Amino acid sequence: MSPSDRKRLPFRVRAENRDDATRLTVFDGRNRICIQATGAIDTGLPKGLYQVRLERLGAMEDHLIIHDEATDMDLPLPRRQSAMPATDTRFTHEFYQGPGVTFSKKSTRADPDNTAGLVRLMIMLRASGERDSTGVSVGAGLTLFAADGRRITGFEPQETQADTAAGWQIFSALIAPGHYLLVLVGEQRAEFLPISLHAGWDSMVFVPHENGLRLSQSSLDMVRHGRGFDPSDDLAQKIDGAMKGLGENLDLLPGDMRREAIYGKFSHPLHGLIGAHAHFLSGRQQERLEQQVLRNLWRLLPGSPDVVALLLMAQERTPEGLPETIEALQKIAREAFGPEHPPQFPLAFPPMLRPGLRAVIRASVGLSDLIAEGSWCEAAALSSFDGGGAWAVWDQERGSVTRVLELPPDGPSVPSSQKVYAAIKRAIAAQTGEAMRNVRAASRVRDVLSDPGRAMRSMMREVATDLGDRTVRAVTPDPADRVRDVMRTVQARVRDAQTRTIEIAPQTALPDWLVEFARGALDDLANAPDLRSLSRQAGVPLRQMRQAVTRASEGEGDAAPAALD
Amino acid sequence: MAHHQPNDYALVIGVNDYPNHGSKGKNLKGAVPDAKRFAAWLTNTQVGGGLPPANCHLITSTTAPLSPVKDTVDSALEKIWDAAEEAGGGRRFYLFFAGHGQSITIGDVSDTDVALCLPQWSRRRLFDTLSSDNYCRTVKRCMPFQQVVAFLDCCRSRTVRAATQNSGLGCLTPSDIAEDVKGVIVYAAEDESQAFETATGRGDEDEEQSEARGYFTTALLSALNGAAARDTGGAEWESLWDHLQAEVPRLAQKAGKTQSPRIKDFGLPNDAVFGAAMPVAGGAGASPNFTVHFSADRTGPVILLNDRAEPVRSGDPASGPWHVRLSYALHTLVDTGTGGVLPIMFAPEMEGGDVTF
Repeated sequence: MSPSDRKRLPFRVRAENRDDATRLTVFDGRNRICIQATGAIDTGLPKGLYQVRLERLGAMEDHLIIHDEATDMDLPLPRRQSAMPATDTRFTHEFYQGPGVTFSKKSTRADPDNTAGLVRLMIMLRASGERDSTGVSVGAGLTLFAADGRRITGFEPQETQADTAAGWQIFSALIAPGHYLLVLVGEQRAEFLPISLHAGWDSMVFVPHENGLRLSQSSLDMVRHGRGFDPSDDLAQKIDGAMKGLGENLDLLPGDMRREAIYGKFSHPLHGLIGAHAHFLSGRQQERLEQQVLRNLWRLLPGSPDVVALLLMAQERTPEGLPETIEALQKIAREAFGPEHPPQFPLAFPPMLRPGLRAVIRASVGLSDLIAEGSWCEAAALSSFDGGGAWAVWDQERGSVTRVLELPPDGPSVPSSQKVYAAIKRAIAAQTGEAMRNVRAASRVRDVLSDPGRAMRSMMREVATDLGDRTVRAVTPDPADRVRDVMRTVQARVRDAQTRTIEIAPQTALPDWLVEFARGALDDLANAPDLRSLSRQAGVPLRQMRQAVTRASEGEGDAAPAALD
Repeated sequence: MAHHQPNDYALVIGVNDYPNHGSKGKNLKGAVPDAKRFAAWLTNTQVGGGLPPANCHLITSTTAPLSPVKDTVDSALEKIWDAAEEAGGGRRFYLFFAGHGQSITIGDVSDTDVALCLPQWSRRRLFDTLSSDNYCRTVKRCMPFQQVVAFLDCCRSRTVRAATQNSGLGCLTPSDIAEDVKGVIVYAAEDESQAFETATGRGDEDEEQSEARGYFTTALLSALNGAAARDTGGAEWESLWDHLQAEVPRLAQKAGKTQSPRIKDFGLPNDAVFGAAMPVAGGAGASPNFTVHFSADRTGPVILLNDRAEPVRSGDPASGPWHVRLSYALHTLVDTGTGGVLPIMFAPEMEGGDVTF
């Protein structure tokens, strides 16, 4: 007798609050799908064992139902995984939510005297999975730069708040709206996450640490300046869940979210951005609506490369297609965005969202001057890295990120004058057998050491041991120096050795993989290749494709571009 | 009863060796064993696919020399093409791949292909991959098969701007039956996601593991060996797909991972049958195939229910251990004293196993 022959009993199950973003699937005892629906199921099923699967925003949970009488129950929503410590996520505890809320309104370093026009950027690094991250320095290798290469923070202890036992570290500061780069330097390569900050909006970036930081899996929340992070914000949760679940396939955004985003009041710029991406990527066309969406988004996020990318997406779907010159594009942009804050072409900074970056690259096939030469946008367009997810993370060789020493701001890692002075006095006293109190700051080293040349070396070894810093051994003071001069030299040495600055620059040299790509294409083709087609296939700007084909066909060296298109 | 499918052919590829994948290489452990297991199922004439061994081309990776290369795959596929033509046409073509994979976007829309990574693959050799779409399309377009079925146990994540190579085989004009060829590509994971193997990931750094297996291939072989079998033997495509959707996420979730299979369907009928495995009958009288032990804090009475919520056995925990006969289906143990519940999805290869409740 098959299950369908048996008497059916009422089977009613509901996702908590009948959440319509939750998909329910009922499997019978032999793993056959009986029924699927969103929010709730009301049907009849024969007596038996069933498993009800709830799937929501990338999270999944199965519930066993012993259906031996009428079943009627509410099932809790499955918890998704995210670095954002929202109330609907797994592995989120109060010890993540609390600091996330606090430092979304409070800086972890001193604010400048004049904070007018500044916005908050909070970057929270946190353990986000089941792996034990106790004691792990989650911020290791991470630096925040402005797009012009200025270093904002290296996540030093004095600039951040952290709890290594709980596995989190937060940098929060008021800084100027503009474009920034979060850079993670690895053993061979460095990853870059572009961040654009906009006037009036605070941004919170949550980066998961699971056996290393995962920039591609970051979450972003944007709130009006000063409002702070709300772990229970339903809209922020839905946006984050959709972005994590869909990756760059934003065209699959649930219909209700898309409608809310593009018809709504734009209370959340990120919602507007992904809603517009969903609309443009899905192939729907409603000219008036699109004009309105673009204008509203530009008003909220003036200068945003993501909004420019949306304009390109909209334009490429029109019968006229993309314009052929930057001047024509500028005219279209003025019409679309209005006269205020005209976009700057060529584009120097990439969109934050990968579908936007792809749109810019596609457009650059026809508009070869769309992307600025030697810019971050060009570096992003040429990288072979695609970390998955919605963010336009790219990578460069580690060699493109250079380290140089600089005089750092004072910090707790540099020993205090008193500590260094005491260490030097102890070392001299040990050498000479003199009492420490007899060694004065103004004393000349040769006056207190009987043989300065020889005793100096062992003195510095003692100081190094005392301070726990091996680099101090290499200090060789002049015998004519006073003790206070030696003290200053030692402090400078410790400071120089313990701190560093990373300098970055876009890597825009022709990548090997692109030359290989061109070589493969030339091998496969009997006739001259269609450069535009190759450019689209490789997903790179036309200019670089032309260079790659030239190099592949003529051998190494920076040959002149081939006239192959 | 012997089951023969002399007109079925298969190309089975397992790649464990990826010495240049990432800065330190990224070898797998379970891909080659999984390919061998699937090939063994294909050539099994009792419960499996019933293919003659000569029809099943198994390619596994080696390090010296580093192989296979694309030509190895194309040569094997060409032999299959020749043999099927010589036989007057084939019925079903199977493609199985276990190894690293990358998702790539085709054109400007979110239609995706999967680049199946060969052992030579590296950041500089992005082209040492096979286009899963193209290989399936080439078979469908050019070769004399009625069905094309591909199982791809690999990641569909994006770590680099992946590229694919098309098959070197092709035909100027489609075969007469090309329009009527039905089939399906079954992916181990959804787009932009990883597929995993026990203790390791198809996308993770490997760890020591005595017998690594991909969750997808584990669920697939479990279904083919009887868990999704119909009463008359063999698994229909609809049941097989339901089983994969149920079990792959569960297996992954037990290990703290997220993995859901997906398909690209081009019309494989729901009643297309795979293999000849029979479901195992449960119930009293037959020889036991499973043992239930009870922990000391179990109060009872305990009831063991079958998939129809009917008691298979009940009694006090002191009467344990219970030696019971289970069918390939969901069962559950219920402690009526404490309300404790333990579901057991009894599946092939669990015979002789046990559980402590």
